[in-house]
Order: sequence, then structure tokens, then C-alpha cells
Amino acid sequence: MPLVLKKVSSEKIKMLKIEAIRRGISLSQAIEEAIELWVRLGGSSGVVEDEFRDDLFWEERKNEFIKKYYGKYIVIANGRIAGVFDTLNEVSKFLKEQGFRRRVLVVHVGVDKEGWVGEWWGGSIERISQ
Amino acid sequence: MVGRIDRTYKPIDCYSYAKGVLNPYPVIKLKLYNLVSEVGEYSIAVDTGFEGSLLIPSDIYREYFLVGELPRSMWRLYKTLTGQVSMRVSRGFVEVAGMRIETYVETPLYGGFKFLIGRELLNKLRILLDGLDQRLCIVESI
Repeated sequence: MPLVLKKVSSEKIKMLKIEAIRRGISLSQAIEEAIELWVRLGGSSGVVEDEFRDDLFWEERKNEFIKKYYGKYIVIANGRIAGVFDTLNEVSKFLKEQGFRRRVLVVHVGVDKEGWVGEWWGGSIERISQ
Repeated sequence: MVGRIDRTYKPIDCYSYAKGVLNPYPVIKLKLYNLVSEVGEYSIAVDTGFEGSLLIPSDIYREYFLVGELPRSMWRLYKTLTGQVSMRVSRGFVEVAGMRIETYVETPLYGGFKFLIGRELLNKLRILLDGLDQRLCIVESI
């Protein structure tokens, strides 16, 4: 059925679109799944919002970052770039010094790919008994 | 010396196959690190059918690999016999046979699952599978 929604946060719609594209499903399918999960989970907290902030920051600025930092590693935390580095060892040293333990995005700009679809021949099939 | 095809190889490290349900399977013993600490030492099954890097259970991923995760748009999708599987993707290091290697670390978006080493990581190593002696060796060219 057609559905028109007013006053929906554009950030939330962006989040949903990003996730729908990543999973290769339509926005309508994503909304259906979201409704089902919301109904099933009932009173869950707003943790997702924080988790998406750095993803949204990347999505909104990625074209600029690809031009500016191609080949570098960038660290994204708290909705901003926390550091730019040449190697993953330098990233590691920085994260240790800063004491990061929670979710922090690290992107090897221009090397890490979007829309990665791979194959998994047997899905690691094994017999469950003799 | 373990063999000669068009070049000669010698083993750096060898691991006995693990016991399977019916047939033993090759494993690689490695130390796994996230970007800030050591996570643990594991013997992990080799899966040449898996195109990704290093698959780990989601409880370990959630505890250690939110640091260094890739943005959601870079998470991965795999086509399997039974449909598609979505994976979260992070990054870390493995130490194997004295080598330290950068690697992607993956876990299913839904479900727990297991440890596996896929082709993206296997292709960074020289490996001999000796099915008759039931051992896998990391080798080097001499």
C-alpha cells in the first residue's frame, strides 16, 4: 500500500537508505523490516542513533575525504575526524594513546570498498552427526 | 624441505589438522589483535570457499572489534547456497608463523557463527596442505 509520512527526521531516512542500499533491498522492504523489528523488540533504547553518527559523517563527507585523504587511514569518532595516518600501525598507536575502546571507524580511504559482494561456496557446510 | 614444483619451499610452521565430524580439516594457528590489544590465540579452519578474510564469532567481534570498524556502507554481503549473508567488517592484525599481517575481520550481522580463514587472508600466505600426514604448513620459497 502507498504510504506518505510527514515530519520524519531526514537523518533517520538517510540512515535507513544507507542500510537498505548496503543490504541490497528497497526502501519499502527496509521499512517493513524496521516495523517488524520495532514491534518485536518493544521498548528498546536509542543506542542505534549514536552508533550511526560516525557512519552518517562518512556518508555525507566521503567524496571530499576521498579527494583529500586518498591512500591515508582516517579515524572517525564522535562525528568528526580524530586523526589521519599513513599506516595502520600509526592508527593503532594513536588509538592506544587515546584509550579508545568503544566503536571508532577506521577507513583506508580509496582502498576500503563500498558495495562489496563476495561468494561463499558452501556456506561452510559440515555434517552435524556421523 | 617440503617440496619442489617450479621452486623450492621450506616450512616455517606446521599445524596438525583438527578433528572434523567425519574428516579432519586444515587449521592455521594464529594470534589475533584488534587495533589496541591482543585478542587471543586460535586454531582456525581454512575455508577456500569463503572469499573474505577472517570470520570470527559475533561475541568476540562485539567485545574487541568495534574499535577500527568500517562504515556500514563498506560492510560485506556474501552469496551462499542458502541465500545472502551480511557481515560487519572491522580491521586488525594476525601473527602467523612469525609474520604480522593486516587483515579485515568479519562477523555475521545476524547470528553467532564461528572462526574461519577465507581466501583474502589465505592469499597472503604460502601454504602446503599435506592431507596424507594431516598437517598444514606455512612455507617460504628458498
